[in-house]
Amino acid sequence: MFKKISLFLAVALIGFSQLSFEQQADPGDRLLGVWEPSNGRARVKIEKIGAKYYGKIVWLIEPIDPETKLPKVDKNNPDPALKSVPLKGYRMLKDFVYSGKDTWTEGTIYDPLNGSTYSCTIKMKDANTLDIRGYIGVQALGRTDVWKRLVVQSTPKK
Amino acid sequence: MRLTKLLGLLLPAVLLAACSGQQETVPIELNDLEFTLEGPLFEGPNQGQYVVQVDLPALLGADDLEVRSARLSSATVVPNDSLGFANVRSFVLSLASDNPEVGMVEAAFLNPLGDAATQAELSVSKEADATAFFQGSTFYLVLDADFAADFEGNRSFKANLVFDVVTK
Repeated sequence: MFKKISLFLAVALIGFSQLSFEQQADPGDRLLGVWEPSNGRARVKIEKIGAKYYGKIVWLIEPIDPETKLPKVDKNNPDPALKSVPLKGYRMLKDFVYSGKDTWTEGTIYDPLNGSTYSCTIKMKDANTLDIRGYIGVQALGRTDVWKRLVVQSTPKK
Repeated sequence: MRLTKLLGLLLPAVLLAACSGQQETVPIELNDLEFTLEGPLFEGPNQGQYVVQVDLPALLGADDLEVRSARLSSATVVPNDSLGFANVRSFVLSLASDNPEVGMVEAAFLNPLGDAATQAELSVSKEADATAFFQGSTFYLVLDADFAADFEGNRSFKANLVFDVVTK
């Protein structure tokens, strides 16, 4: 009888601690991870800095510039001083704030193909699918792309 | 008549000067900022962060000054472990804030890093406006190091930064 009560208490405590952990976890952190846009030409890792979310390019299908034969740089950046920044590593998603209801707002998306930055909202359709909507001014004037989550299984070597 | 015209020109200028107060550019040095990039580190860009608590009276040496503008004027990165700059291809330094009104800015970078480099003098963007970061209480410095190979452990670097801050 004593053993049964101890077991019940232990299970209850584990359940309580898990519940506490889940309650403390930031619901916005479900956005963290590596994602692939619909064209499959890049992969973007979303990380958190302070209270906001940022996505940087971690993989490119064509990492080398055919003209220079060197790793691609952000040659279309409107800031002349930043045209030599490597494209791999560039944060194309910036300053997203979780606003509830599976939606992240207040952010921007950068298109390295033309050097333009657009307002952007992110809507998580399910755990592995994002609707990324870039727009100018009002959301109605924009375009939505569907991004899929990648499961990275590689292990770094020493 | 000529005196009236002269006064008409001078008076607005005098009033403008009186209202604008005296502005001063103060260099703010932030030295030995430690950035730890926590492993496992993968080939490609990896980031380290440093949280800056903006204590203007301590930084500016006066209580009643306010920041009118701020820009990064120099940024130097040095290794902070025995590995030096091994396998580091480039650095990018950015500023970020929790304030939804303040967007991240890329402030300085170096690409590529020389093979034999012992310290990295980053190129500073003249367009990167740091004013809003010094008008808040906290901001984040983000150092991205692009690695040529995977690495299991941590890497550490130190940065010395100078901001030119215009105060009033």
